[in-house]
Formats: sequence, C-alpha cells, structure tokens
Amino acid sequence: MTVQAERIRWETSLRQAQERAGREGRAILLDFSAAPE
Amino acid sequence: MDTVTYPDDRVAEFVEHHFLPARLKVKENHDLAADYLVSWTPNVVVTDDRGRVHYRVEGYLGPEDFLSRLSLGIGRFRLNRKLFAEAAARFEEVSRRHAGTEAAAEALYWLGVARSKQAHDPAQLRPSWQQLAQEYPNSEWNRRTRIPSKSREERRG
Repeated sequence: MTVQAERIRWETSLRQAQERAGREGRAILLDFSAAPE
Repeated sequence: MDTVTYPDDRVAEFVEHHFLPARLKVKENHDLAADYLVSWTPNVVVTDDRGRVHYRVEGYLGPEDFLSRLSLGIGRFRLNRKLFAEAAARFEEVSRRHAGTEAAAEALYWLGVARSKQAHDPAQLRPSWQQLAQEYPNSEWNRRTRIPSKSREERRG
C-alpha cells in the first residue's frame, strides 16, 4: 500500500508548490496528514 | 486515505493530472495548519499560489466520493478565476459521471452559477437548477436555490 501511495508525487514544500502553481496557473491539492508516514 | 483512497489508480491519476499535490504533516507545520484552519484530519484543501482556499474536503472519503469532490474542487477553482466555460464543463461532467450522488447535486447548483456568470444572465441559472429540483428534490443544494421572497408586510415597510 505504501509503495502504491507513492504514485502521487507529493511536494513537501508548500512554497515550492505555490511557485509552480503561480507559473503554471494550476491548483494545489494540499493534504494535511496527521501522522508520519 | 493512504490505505485505500490515494493508492487507487483513478485517484492517483486524477491528482497528478489536475493538481500540484503537496502534503504537510500537521505536527511539523502547526502555523500553516492554523492558517488553513485545519483542526481535524483528514483535511484536504484545494488552494492556489496565494494561499486562497477554493474547496475543502474534511473526513475520510473512499475513491469514488473523493474523485467527485476533487472534480468539484477543480470546478470551483476555475469558477473563482472567472474561467466560466471551463468551470461549467467540469460541473457538467461531475453531474453526469457521479449521477445520483450529493456531489452531482452540488455540481448542478454550481453549473447554473457558472452558466449565468458566463452569459451575464441570471436566467441561465434556471435550466440547471430545474434539473437539480427534478433529480435531487431532497438535496440541501436544491433547498439553497430557493430564495425566500419578502412577505407583503416587509414589502410595504
């Protein structure tokens, strides 16, 4: 399951995601997780 | 979400195709969690480069329900950016693909909004909202279309 979950390439820096979102005009899907994976 | 929903092929593909996915651990990001008003997890936010929240999913959802909410989130993101035709296309797709669900009812509500904004004509609310009333008469989204008119006394005053 963990291996499959990694199919989504999560960005762990919100700032970097925001910079890309600004450049590409895309939405960010921001997931707040409760516990370490 | 990590055991069933995110590993689902359809969810993973949809997320990768439509979003920039970012993940933060609440314990290590207290301030950001507070900024985004996260008081419970799972908590998934559709946001933009300026930190504005366009849609939010709280609590666990299985793949099918999560897909419908992600799709609504894309629609709301487009609507807020005044991309009305693109927003309408997304809401239309949700209403078809997830027919019979509360997400489809929500999509019909916003489809009317997107079309009326696109045409600058409130009458364009009517077709989608009529469909909403016919297909989802008990939905909260249908009730949201009923704007109470003022009583006679209020109008007089």
